[in-house]
Amino acid sequence: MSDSNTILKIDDLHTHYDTPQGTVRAVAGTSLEVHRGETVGIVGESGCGKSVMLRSILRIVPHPGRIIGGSIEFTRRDGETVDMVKLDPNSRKIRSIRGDEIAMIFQEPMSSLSPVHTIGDQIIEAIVLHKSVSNTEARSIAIEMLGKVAMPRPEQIVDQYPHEISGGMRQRAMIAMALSCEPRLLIADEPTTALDVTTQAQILDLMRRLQSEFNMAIMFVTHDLGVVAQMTEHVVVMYMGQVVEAGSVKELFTAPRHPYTHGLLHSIPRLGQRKLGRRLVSIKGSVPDPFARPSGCPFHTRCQYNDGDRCVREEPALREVMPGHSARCHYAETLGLQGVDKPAEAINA
Amino acid sequence: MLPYVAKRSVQMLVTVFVISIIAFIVIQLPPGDFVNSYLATLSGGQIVTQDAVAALRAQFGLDDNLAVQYFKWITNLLQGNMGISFQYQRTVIDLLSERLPLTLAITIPTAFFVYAVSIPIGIYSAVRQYSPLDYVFSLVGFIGLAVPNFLFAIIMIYVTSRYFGGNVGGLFSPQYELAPWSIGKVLDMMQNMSIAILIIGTSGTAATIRVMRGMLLDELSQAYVETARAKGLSEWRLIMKYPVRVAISPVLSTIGFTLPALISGTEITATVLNLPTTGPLLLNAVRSQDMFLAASIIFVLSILTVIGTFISDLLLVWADPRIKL
Ligand SMILES: Nc1ncnc2c1ncn2[C@@H]1O[C@H](COP(=O)(O)OP(=O)(O)OP(=O)(O)O)[C@@H](O)[C@H]1O
Ligand SMILES: [Mg+2]
Repeated sequence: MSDSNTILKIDDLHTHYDTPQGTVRAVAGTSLEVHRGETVGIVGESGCGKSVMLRSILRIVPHPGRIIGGSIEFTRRDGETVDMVKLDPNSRKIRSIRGDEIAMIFQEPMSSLSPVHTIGDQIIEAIVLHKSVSNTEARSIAIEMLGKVAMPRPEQIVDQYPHEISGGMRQRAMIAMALSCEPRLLIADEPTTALDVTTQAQILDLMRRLQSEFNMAIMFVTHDLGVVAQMTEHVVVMYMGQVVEAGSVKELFTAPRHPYTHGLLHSIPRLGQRKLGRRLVSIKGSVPDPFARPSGCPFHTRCQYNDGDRCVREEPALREVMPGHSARCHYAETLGLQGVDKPAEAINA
Repeated sequence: MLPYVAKRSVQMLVTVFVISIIAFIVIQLPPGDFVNSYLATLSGGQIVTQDAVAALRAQFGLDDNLAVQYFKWITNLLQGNMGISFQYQRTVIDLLSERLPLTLAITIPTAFFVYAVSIPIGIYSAVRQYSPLDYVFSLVGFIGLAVPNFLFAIIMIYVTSRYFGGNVGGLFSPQYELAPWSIGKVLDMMQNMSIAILIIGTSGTAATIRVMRGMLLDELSQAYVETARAKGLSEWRLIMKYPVRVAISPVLSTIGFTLPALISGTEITATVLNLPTTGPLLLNAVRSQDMFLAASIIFVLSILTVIGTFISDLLLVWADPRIKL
């Protein structure tokens, strides 16, 4: 259901990697929507296609990955809706969207900035590219942005190199760069995974604050359901390149409809056990070989509710089980899965 | 910066000093001395008396022990006197001032040629990895590396004289050999030099293409490239600004030792091509144990090498802010 508030609508997106060993269907029919000013959390085990999906939006999927179907409709500031899939990835048009209307921050603050250019150089470049301002003006915008991300001594940091500042400060610099053109949509691919817990909490806090200030939408990938609960209103759960469940955080946590979501929720470690960067592993079995996709429901090989018949034969469709809550399971309405409270331990904020 | 330069200068002086000793000793290592090899080259049948031999030895100062000889040579050298060449019966300075400018006139353009050709090709090959052109460049590059320069020189001489009726080898074509300087003569010299540059520069070019390609391939998959792409930069612009900038500095910094390598690595080619550079001169001097000449050439080359390395290091420091002095 798209309405005037929708800024991004992905429909049945397929992104494949052709490799000598075969085709990896990294994104295999993902559909989701993002509304103005909303934060959408995206969760799922490693390899389920989160990063590839996000890169597909900006059309920066690295070779040999390629989008083979579906649409990604993005509504621009001026109201025009463009299908990113139809644009040439090197076209002027898509470049005017990248970094300006849709910005992206990555997981690795260590390597995401060029080691041989100053922080300021890299931020100023983005500003000059998209706004018609002089270098001097861009520099003061950069310093102002660094101040907004609570960077200490922004006037000095602007002339420093990435190796001269800490990981947390680099991620702040990345955020400052991403926000420098006031994007409508910020794509954050595990922006805090590489950081220590305290720094992570500060960065999340910062992102939440800036979101309301800039009124932008955020797509936030994380492995940490605590972060999802704390940061987002809406969650999308992915499995093997597909959305298996999507809904509001409250709904999804208290009344999950897909056995995979259920498994994820119950794999949250208890307070005190939490190890940094811990991945979600407590669902029985492991993710199937991407070259040998299971028939029927891709999750049936690991699902305790597998009926051995329909689940193996027929691929379920993503359908709405309640207003604003959809799931991709034949038995979504009848399983009566147990939810959790919104995870109390969240993060050590 | 300044303390670093000072420290390096002292290191450089020590290095050059040590090299000069080693060079002097190594040249004397083969049995006999210049007088022996000189006598050996005299046409058979000539009778040389013991007295004459002793006179020659005394004249060249070969009777002193090695340390004394070295000391004499180095003190003279420091006063700008490199001694005489036994073989040519001229001062070493004289010989070098004749040969060195030409050597530089060939090697400096060769260095430019190497980088000007290999860097763009290396960039292209990395960015378009496994494209048909990348394969072509790789193949040509491997051939360039595998074929020894002198063989390449012989092939060039053959091809040029056979198909173009031109003349390769020597600095001038026969008609200009003795002519006074004119525009035609300069052009002729440049033409002959460009063939030399091509031959001498090929293996360096091939090697530098591999290095540039490899370095850039490593950088292209770095996260900061993706950041730049997500920023909205156009593909070529971001490639030139980020990964190329990172990959090129170690490549460019080799420019310092390319020069001496080119100068000393071309004896055989220069001999085949009959170019009056320092290469053949050094080769001869070593063969005939013309020790002051050989030691002086090695001395000059080692100075060039040491300075080249120093320049390389400075370039690297300048190009990569992560390197601390
Ligand atoms: N260059 C590539 N060649 C082949 N397959 C690839 C390539 N890059 C990604 N894939 C495949 O795409 C799938 C999705 O990868 P993706 O990086 O999107 O996972 P992810 O959900 O972001 O995982 P993580 O949580 O570890 O970041 C994986 O199965 C992976 O094997
Ligand atoms: Mg990822």
